[in-house]
Amino acid sequence: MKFRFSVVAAAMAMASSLAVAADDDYGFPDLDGFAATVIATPKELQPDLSIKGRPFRLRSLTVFPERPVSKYVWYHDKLRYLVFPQKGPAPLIFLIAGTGSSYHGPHMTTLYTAFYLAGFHVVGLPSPTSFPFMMTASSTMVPGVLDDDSRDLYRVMKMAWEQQLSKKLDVTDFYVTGYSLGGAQTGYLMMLDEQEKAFNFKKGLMINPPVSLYNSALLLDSYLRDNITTGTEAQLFWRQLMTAMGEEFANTQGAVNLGPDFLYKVYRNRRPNDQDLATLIGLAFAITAQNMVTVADVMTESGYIVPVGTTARITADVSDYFIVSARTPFRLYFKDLLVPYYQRSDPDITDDDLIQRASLYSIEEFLRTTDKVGVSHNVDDIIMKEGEIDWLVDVMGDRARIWPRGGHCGNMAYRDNVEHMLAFFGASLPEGR
Amino acid sequence: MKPIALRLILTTLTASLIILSGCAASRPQEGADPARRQIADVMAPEDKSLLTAYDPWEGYNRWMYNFNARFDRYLFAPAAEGYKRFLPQFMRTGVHNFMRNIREVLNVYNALLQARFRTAGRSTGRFAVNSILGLAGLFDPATEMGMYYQREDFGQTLGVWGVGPGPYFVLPLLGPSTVRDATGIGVDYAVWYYVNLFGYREWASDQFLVWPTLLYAIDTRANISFRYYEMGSIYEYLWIRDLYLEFRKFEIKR
Repeated sequence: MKFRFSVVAAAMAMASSLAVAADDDYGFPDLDGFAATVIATPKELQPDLSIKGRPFRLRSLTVFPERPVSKYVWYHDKLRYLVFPQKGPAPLIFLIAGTGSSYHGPHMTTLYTAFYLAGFHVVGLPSPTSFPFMMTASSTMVPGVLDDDSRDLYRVMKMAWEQQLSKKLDVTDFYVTGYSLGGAQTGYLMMLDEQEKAFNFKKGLMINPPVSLYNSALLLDSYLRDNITTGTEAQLFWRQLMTAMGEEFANTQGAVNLGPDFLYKVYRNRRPNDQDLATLIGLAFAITAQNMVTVADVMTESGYIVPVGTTARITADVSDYFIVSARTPFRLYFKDLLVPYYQRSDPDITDDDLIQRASLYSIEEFLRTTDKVGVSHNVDDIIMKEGEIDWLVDVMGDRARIWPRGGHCGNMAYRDNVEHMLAFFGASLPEGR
Repeated sequence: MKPIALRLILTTLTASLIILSGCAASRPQEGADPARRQIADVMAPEDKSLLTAYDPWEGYNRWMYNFNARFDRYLFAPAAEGYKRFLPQFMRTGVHNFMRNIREVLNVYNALLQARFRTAGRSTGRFAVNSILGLAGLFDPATEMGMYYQREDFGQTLGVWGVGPGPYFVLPLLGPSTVRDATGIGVDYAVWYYVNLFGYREWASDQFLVWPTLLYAIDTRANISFRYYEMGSIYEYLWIRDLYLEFRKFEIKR
C-alpha cells in the first residue's frame, strides 16, 4: 500500500512551448487545448479552496433492492455518494461527475470545496458511466443514452433526498451542476425536473458538456488510435512516458505531490508535442471505455467479449478480457453493445435515433427557451467537433460563457472560472479566498 | 512483532501460496456460445500484449489483494478515517513527524549502501536536527532548513544494484510488492530489530497492545490516499500491479 495512486494522475502528463501570458485579460496559462486538459490549473492560480477538518459524510443507497450483489464485485453493493452539509438553512447543489468518474477525483474536489465554502449543502454523485453506478443504479447497465441516464440520476437524487437528506438538511433552494458528460446530464435533469418538479431546480450550470456524446467519444477514440494501433507501439509509448516521468521525478527536490504543479514542471522541461498529449488523453479515455465495455457486456449478458454464463472467480486470470476490451473503442461499445441492447425491446430503433438521444440536440427547444440553464465552455475544448461551440452559443445566447482557452475542464479550478461559476448561482467565496 | 506471530504469518502465507498459486482462467459454462470478439480479432499473432508484469502467482496474489481490500474497507481505512476526524491536525502532524524521524535510521543505511552519500548526509542531518531541535522528532524544523525527507528501503537498494523485481507478490496487509521488495522489508525489519534505536523498539513491543506499532500503522494509512476498488475499473488488480512496478522504478531512480 506504499503505492500512491496519484502516479496514475502523473502518468497523464507531458506537453510544448513555455507558458506565457497571452494577449488577453484572461490569466489562465497560454497552453493549447491538449496541454491544458492534461495539466489543469497550477496551485497558485487557484483560489484558496482549503477546508479545515473533514466536514463530509459518505452515504449509500440501495437503488434496486431486487438486483443481486455480484460476488466478484462485492465492493459495489450500494451506490455511494458524498455530502458536505452546512449547519443551518442553506441552498443545496447536486454535482454530477464526468465520464467514468465516481464521486471523488480532482474536478469533483474543486466543485465540492468551492460550493461548500460559498455556503451550499453539496451532494456529489458518480457518473452513470462509472463502474459503481453501472452496477448499482443504472436501469439499462449500458449507459450513454442521455435521457435514460439522466432519469437514473434523477431517481437517485429523489431517493437520496427522501430517504436520507431531507431528515438532516435544512434546504432553501435546489441547484444542479456537472462537468463534462455530467454537464450534458445537467441540461437533461433541468428539463426532467421542469416536468416532474420534485426539486424545482432554480438553476443549472453545464460545465464543458459534449454537445454530441457520440461525436466526442469518436474524437477521443481517434486521439489514441490515430497514433497507436498495436501493442508494440503502446508499449513503446508507455516506456517513453515512464522514462521521462521517472527522470523528472528523480530530479525533484522535496516532497513531491504528483498533481498539476508537478505536471506543469514536467511540461516546461520536456515540451512534449500535441501528438503525445493526444495519445495520453486517448489512453485515459480508453481505460474508461475498457471498463464500460466489460461491465456492460457482463451485466447485460451480451456475450460480446465475455461468453454468456461465465462465472468469474476472484482468483481467475482475466488477462484476455483485459486485452480485448482495451482494444475495443467506444465506437464499438455503441455499435455492438448499446444499440443491440436497445433493439431488444424496440427492434425498429436505429443507430441515429440513439445518437440523437445521446446529444443536446434532442433538448434544443428546452435549452433555447429556458432561462435557468447556463453553460461554461472553452473555445479549444478537445472533445468538441467543429461547429459545436457555435451551436451552443447560438442556442444559449448570453447564458453561454465561452473562455478563450482551458481545453477540456483544464481551467475549472482557475480563479476566474470558480468566481464565474459561483456568481451564476448568486454566490461567491468568502473574502480573502 | 512477536516471533510466534511472525511464524504464524509465514506458515499461513506459504500454505496459501501453494494452494492458490495455480491460476485458472475464468471458465465459461459448457455449451455456451463463444464470445463475439476475441483476442484473435484485436491482436496480430506477432504483436505484444499490454500486460508485461511477471506474475506467476496470480491466483494467490488476486486472493490476497481481495483479502487486503476487505481488511482495508472494514477495519484499516475506517480506523484511519476516525483518527483523522478525532485527533487534531497538530497532534497528527506530531505523530507523523515522530514516526518518520525514527524511520530515518533505515533511510540512512540504505542511502549509504546505495552510495548516495548526499542523501545519507541529508537524512543524518535531519535526524540530528529533528531529534534535538524538534523535540525527539515531534516537529520537523529540518524541512524548513531545506533538508527534505526521502524514503529509502532495502528493496530500492537491491534495485539500485541491478536486482530485478522478481515475481509480483501481494503481501498480507501490506499490499502490492515483489519478491525483491518483500525481501527488502524483511532486511529492513531485521536492521530495525537489532539497532533498537534508543531502546525504542524494545519499549514499543512491551506496551499494552503494542500501541506504538498500531499508531505507526494508522499514521501510515492516514497519509495514503489510495482506496481499494475505487479506481473505477473492473481490472483494478491488473492496473495496480503494472503501475506499482512502474512506481518502484521511479523510486529506485531517485
